[in-house]
Amino acid sequence: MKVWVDPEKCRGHALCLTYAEDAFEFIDLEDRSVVIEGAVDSVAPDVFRAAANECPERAIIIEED
Amino acid sequence: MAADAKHVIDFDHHGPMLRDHNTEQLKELMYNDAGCPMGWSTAHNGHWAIWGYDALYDAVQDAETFSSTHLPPECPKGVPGALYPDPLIPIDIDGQEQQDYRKVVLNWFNPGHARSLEPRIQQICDDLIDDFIESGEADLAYQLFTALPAIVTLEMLGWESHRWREWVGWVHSFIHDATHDPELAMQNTMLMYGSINNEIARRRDELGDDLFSDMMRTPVAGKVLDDDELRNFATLVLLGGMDTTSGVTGNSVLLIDQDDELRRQIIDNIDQMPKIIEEFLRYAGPGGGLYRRVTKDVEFHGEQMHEGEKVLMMFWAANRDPKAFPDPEKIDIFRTQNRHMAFGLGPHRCLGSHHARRMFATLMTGIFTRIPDFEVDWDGVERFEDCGSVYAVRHLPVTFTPGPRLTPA
Ligand code: HEM
Ligand code: SF4
Repeated sequence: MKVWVDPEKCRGHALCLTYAEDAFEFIDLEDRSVVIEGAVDSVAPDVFRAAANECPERAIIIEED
Repeated sequence: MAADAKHVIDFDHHGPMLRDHNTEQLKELMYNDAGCPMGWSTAHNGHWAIWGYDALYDAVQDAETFSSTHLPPECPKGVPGALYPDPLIPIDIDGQEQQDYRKVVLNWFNPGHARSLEPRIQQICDDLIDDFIESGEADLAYQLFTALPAIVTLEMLGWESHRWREWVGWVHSFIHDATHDPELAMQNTMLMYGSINNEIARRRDELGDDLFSDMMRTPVAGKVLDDDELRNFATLVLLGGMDTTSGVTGNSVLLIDQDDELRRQIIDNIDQMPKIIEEFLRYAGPGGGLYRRVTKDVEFHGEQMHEGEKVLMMFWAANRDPKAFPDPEKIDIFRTQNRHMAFGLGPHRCLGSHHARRMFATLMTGIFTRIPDFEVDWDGVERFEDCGSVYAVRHLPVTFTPGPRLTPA
């Protein structure tokens, strides 16, 4: 599975942090989130899917294998 | 204008119907026979209102067609047009300039900063509840829901927080009196502007370590902000900070008082508060008179829109669109795929959303742990007259079993 946050769509709602705090981190001065390096391997795929479902901007992109 | 609109309605968002029959009115808009996600209202000299989730999503992401700017004096923003000629910063500005203004304060409005404030928010909440918990009665809207966000906002700005009642009075008048009593709103706005000017003067020689000092020292496009910009920026932080969080908390408490099962669910799942509040933001959000201006003739979701027309962005209505939220009238604290728009979407996403979420969660946890058996005295409940700008509760009297203070008086 590949996961990333589309920087054009992300508007920094930070709901991904509420639903998957081990998977995403926030870049404060850019007002947006990114996937933590290596998190795709350490965090369960369902956690990413749940976060993607709550992102109101639809900025979390998941490519299933 | 818009003589060719297909779906024409007579809908006054500042009127008493929306305030007193909120759910019915929002449903009437949503469930129209033609299935239109938007319509042309003849109220206030005519304007569009968008309530469908998908249409609103498209509009808010297209800031070139749906501009946030004023064009005074011909076309001041808002319905009816704003009383105050100056654009508020950053909400009445588009594009790179708006993003540059946001950058000035991002140090203060990011999720990490909101988290770092948590102990202080908790302390304020504990103290405010201490003030009334032994008496068995309180006006939750004023003594708690209004007080907490006001104190937090003033502390961030570095302004005297013990004067919160004065600031709140001006802010409430600015927001809620503008349509019904513009003269009063203008008087209070002038008092507020005077006090903001005093804060500018106080810092002229020595800046401090607070949000307002950062606004004064940080250049935008190579220039520090002048007094007008500072005032228009600070005003928006006050408006955003003081009224909305209180609104959603009051609206939520009123709903929960009418539903014992919901109250029990919340108490049983109190450690899930960060997720529970998302459902109340969706269903009980303070709405808000948020507007855009159409910049060119455009065909949009089945309607022909024309340059210069005003648009009311009904985020709170979209939050009940059955196409986006199954069984939208049910308050389901376990709801998933809750992509609500309570804080807007796109480039103007609420800057205070991280703080608002923390404050709202702290307030809810405080009430449902310390006075869980509260009962609303419905005869004393008073809403702000004009819900077209913010749908909120002015007075919310409750009684409850008295409890102990956390800190001795
Ligand atoms: C539950 C509470 C709140 C709600 C529902 C809310 C709602 C909103 C919405 C819908 C917008 C978008 C406006 C638009 O698209 O035109 C917005 C913008 C804004 N809000 Fe909030 N807000 C809340 C709390 C706060 C707080 C606590 C603050 C500050 C302390 C704040 C400051 C702002 C600012 C500065 C903007 C303008 C952002 C921009 O234009 O770039 N808000 N708010
Ligand atoms: S929830 Fe979506 S928009 Fe918000 S920070 Fe996360 S990825 Fe970005």
